[in-house]
Amino acid sequence: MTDGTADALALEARDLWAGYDGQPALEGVTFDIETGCLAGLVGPNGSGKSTLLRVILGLHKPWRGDIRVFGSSRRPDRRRLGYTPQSEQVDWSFPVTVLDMVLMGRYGHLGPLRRPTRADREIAWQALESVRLADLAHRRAGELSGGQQRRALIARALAQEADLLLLDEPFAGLDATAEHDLIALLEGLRHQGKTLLVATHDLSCVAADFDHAILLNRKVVAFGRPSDVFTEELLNATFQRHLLLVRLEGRTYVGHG
Amino acid sequence: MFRLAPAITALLATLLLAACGSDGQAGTPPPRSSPASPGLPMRVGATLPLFADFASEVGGDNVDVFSILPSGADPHTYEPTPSDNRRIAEADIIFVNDLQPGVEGSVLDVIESNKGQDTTVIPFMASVTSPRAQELGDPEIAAAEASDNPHLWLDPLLARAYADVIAETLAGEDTENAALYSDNLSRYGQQLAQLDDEIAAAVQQIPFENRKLVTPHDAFPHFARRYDLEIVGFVVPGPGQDPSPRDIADLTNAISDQSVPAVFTEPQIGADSRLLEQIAADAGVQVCTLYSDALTDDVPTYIDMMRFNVDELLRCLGGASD
Amino acid sequence: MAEIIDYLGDPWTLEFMRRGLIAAVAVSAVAAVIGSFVILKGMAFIGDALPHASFGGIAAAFVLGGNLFLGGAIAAVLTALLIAFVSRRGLVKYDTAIGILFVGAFAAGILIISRQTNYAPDLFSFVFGNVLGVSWSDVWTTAIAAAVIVVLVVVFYKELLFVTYDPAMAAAAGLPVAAVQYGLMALIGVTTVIGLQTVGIVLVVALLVTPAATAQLLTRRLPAMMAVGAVIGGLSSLGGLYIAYYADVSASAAIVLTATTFFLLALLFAPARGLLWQRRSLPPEPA
Repeated sequence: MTDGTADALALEARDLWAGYDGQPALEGVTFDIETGCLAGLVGPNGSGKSTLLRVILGLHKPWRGDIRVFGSSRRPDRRRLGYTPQSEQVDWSFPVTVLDMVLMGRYGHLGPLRRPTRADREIAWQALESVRLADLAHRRAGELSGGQQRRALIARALAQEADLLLLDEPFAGLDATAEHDLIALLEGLRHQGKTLLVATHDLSCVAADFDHAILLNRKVVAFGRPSDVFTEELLNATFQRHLLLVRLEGRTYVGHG
Repeated sequence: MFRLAPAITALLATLLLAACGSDGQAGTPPPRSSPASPGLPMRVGATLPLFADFASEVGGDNVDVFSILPSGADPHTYEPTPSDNRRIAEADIIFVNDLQPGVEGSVLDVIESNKGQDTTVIPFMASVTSPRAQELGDPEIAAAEASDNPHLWLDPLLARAYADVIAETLAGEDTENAALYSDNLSRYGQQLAQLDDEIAAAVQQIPFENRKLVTPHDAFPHFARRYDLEIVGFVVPGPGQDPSPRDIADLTNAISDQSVPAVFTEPQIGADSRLLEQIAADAGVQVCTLYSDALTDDVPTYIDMMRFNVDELLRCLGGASD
Repeated sequence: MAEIIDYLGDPWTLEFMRRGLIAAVAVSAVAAVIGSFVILKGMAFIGDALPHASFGGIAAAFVLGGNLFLGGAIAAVLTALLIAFVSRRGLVKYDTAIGILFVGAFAAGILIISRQTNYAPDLFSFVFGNVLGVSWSDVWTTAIAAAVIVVLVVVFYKELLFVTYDPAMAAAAGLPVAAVQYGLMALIGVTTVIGLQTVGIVLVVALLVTPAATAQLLTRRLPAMMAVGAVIGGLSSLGGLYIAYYADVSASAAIVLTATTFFLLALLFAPARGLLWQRRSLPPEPA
């Protein structure tokens, strides 16, 4: 757990306020995420999950508040932050191969006039192998299945050698097998010491496999271990509707009431 | 976003100032009742400044003449303003070259939709006899019927015929002043006759083998027929057409083979003139200028325009050929 | 055999044909490279929009007594930058921004001209080029400008790729997304102006869009798409000029139709993506 050094906390948010056109999307958001932790960011649509990720990335300026990434509140070193956007936001018709896509993760390390070196390509290949996409490296990115596309996006973030990965809805539209594989991959990354913050709707998944959960509905309703924060009262407050918790053989399942 | 509004306002204001500042004309004409009451000048419109010039010569102070197209404007891109439309509506007479689009393009449509109930539209080509009447075996056939090339006015004798039409029309509407129009017509007719003599004499000074015309488009057949010049060729085979490689090769070869001393571009045509200049450069001949239907500050009247043309012809075609 | 050589060689005995070919090939190459970005971003109609927008600058230059070609170029590039500015706000899409701004610039030109009662030549088409009417100095200027633009694209390729493909991710990775987007729009503006003033409005629109679209059907990766697009553009120019010479028709039209024919052939026959290919690989109907 915490040992007092700054690096033990991968992410600290203090009283974040942010929004668009005067409408707040985040109100007084405060939480901590420890290094090496698999954290879930849950909340209904419009709760500000994507906004929070964008604020952490530095893509959106907050009105107020403080963000510290690996203990530093200066502009985050972009290279340590990896990001996979929602799949719908990616242009899959673009003429790039899977390898091209993953190699883009290295561009942040290169300056304007430099080309990717052999070392960069090595890193890209390793990233592809760790997500088991190496044999599809030369396919056009758009020819991949949904699950494969997710893995490709993650490979890109891995190629970046990011320490903190922010994933926006990575499980959306995946079937059970693909989702299972993806969770195994994320757990593997956590084993390697990476920190992951995953925005997702899949509450049962968070309940089962994640270390941490942040319940967000513009405000932080609660954050902590899923076993602590996944109560009917807190979940209903987050989702503004009745949810059903079923504990079965030591696992918690969340469904509609 | 809040900084955008003042920037856009400033931009619009600048554009308006530029637009207004470039124009020296006064605003809208004073309102008049219609039709013209006796004692007030007749309101006469014309599509081209050239025709307005003819109308001024024949009508004198008894007519208030305006030209719909400004000098040198291209009928295909010209957009009438509301004051143009009002003048068209209030005109008593409007002279146009022809009822077919020809040289006037869409301005005819604008006239058609905006003319007043009492506005009479007179097409010149329907009222002057075709210069090819003899050839066609019908001494009375009108130019319009004969489908003549529309640039009739470049022959001063046909310009006189245009002036005749104007005098007749004015006298018909304003019988009181018929004698005045007749006098003006005689006077102007004499000037045109004199111009005709001048041109003929000047052409005589051009060596016979140099009396050749190469122009961007086919505007000079009547002029050429009148003064016995040969039309070697033109760049654009027909209106709006793009010359093929063969057209360009044929024209370049014709210029060389027939030892044409110079080609003539028109001041207001863009890409076609540049193409002709390039052809001239390839053939190694000079580029000069001929006006066909535009008046400018330098050549404000028809007679000035024709004199300029003649001077150019002399300058560029005259002298010994090699 | 000698006859075929004559046949192939005849058009090029004419100097204006040789100049036209070099000019058209130079424009094709740069237009295909830039056009790849244009069609991938769904902005194909910018190729027609920017020449119209340039009319505002031409009119202003005319009134101020300046160089019409330069005025047009400035207006086209400014409009391109303004399009980027408006769409970056995210309030309207690219094609909406293009539609609004180019018409505004064109109308500004009309307004300025409509107040001119002095000598006002046909300004809009004044700056149009004609592929058969280029001078040697035009040819060299165009070739050099085209080469400079292509070199810029090569040097900044990965930035252009990343920002065009995924601006959010590129921003997250620390790339200067705004600068790259404005830079690309400026390059599109300059390319369009070069094409317009060298080969005319019909040809510039076609060369910007059609060869790149054809290449998209035939390639998997962007660098290949650009290269193949440039080659197809060059072949269209060559083929079109042959057709114009022997069939005695307009060179611009022949080049455009050749490019369009290549596109239709690719549409039908492209491996894996062509329409006929897809029909053949349908599984047999169950009995």
